[in-house]
Amino acid sequence: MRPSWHLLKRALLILALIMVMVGGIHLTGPERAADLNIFGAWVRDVAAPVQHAVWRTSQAANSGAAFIFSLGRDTGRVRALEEKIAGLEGEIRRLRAVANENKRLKALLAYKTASTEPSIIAAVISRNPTNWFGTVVINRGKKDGVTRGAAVITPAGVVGRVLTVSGRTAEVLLITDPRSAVGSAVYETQVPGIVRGTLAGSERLKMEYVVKDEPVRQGFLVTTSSLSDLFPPGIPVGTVTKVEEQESGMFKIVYLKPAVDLNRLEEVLVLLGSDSG
Amino acid sequence: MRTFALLLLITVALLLEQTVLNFLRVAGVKPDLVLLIVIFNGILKGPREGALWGFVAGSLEDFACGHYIGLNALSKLVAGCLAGLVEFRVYKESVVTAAAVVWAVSFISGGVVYLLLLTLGVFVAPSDAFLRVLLPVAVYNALLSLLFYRSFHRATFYGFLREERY
Repeated sequence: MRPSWHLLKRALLILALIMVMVGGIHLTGPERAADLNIFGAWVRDVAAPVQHAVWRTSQAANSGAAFIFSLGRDTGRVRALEEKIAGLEGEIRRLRAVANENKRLKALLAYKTASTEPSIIAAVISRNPTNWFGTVVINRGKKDGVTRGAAVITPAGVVGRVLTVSGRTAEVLLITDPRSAVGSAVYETQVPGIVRGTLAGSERLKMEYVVKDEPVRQGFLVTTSSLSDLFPPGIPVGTVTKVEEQESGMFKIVYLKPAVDLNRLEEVLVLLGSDSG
Repeated sequence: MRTFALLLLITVALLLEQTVLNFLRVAGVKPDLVLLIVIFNGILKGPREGALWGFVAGSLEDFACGHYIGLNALSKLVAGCLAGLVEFRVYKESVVTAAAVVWAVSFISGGVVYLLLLTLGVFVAPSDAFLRVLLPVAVYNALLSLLFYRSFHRATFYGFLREERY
């Protein structure tokens, strides 16, 4: 039985529609434009205060629920202390990395003065609605000097980089997003590699191109390296949780737990001097 | 009125997905409320309207994200249409049937997103995609449908989502 002309026409129309939509998806990827499109930027700026208010309310409700379900053990003070400890641990790791770097540089009779980059504190106001992408929106944008590519950190370590900016907000690509890649090195051995995200909601990073012969063990710290164009060197990225030896090839895969609890982000620091334009 | 109410419902669901639902993650995922509305609407109104509202809801989500415009529009269009195909084939009043449809359609819709992401060069390991996104989201959505389907059904035929007749 031959298909009727009417059915064929309909099938072609559907096919054309799908192709136009797929083309649209490809043309509107974040890597194609430095700024958000005008409509998207306007929507985000208008929605930002509402999102901020709802986010804060949910956070308060969540803290209240955590307090009740933990039978009073999970208080705001405990949370604050936990955050402080995470920050201090990050600081210790960073200082160790700096000391290590200093030692190496001194050995080469060259000194490097660390520059203090201008930065700005921003609050997280929303997250990507889907489960595929790991992005958060912060309440600082172009008007505050935030530019695409700016590094985003917390005292505990690397958070990500600015993906798109609007007037009053910016979208931050978290290091757990599958599109993220950060030039890093194992702090203990200075073995370089590229840290990639695996999945938005997961607490797992993958370090690739780690040379097989170099020793990397569980518990080792991974920090940003001088190979990274976006991040200053020595900022903690994560801790090694698993090392996967490949049977063939020159490299092994190292799995990390991010230094920052990216599911509980509240405030972040945007380094204003680290944009890529 | 129905159009306005559905748009408002989708906007509120989107706002919740961006904010509150991040605190209600189970197994690392949050439910897709917008998809839930699209599937409910498809089951109750058929493939044509299901696809149309899937496209509208997905487009709103895409514009809220700001990039990859069409990614959610296409996946939710497919979801709405598929859910609508069961309109005359199943007993629509059954919450359990609705949950089963929600589970299957959520899974397929997630699969469409996964395939589109591959064409964009965004690689997620198949095991991660299956075990950490597709399956848990489908289960989470199906469980939520047990709670909300009856209310949506009532609203569609007797409440604020019913069609006006002049």
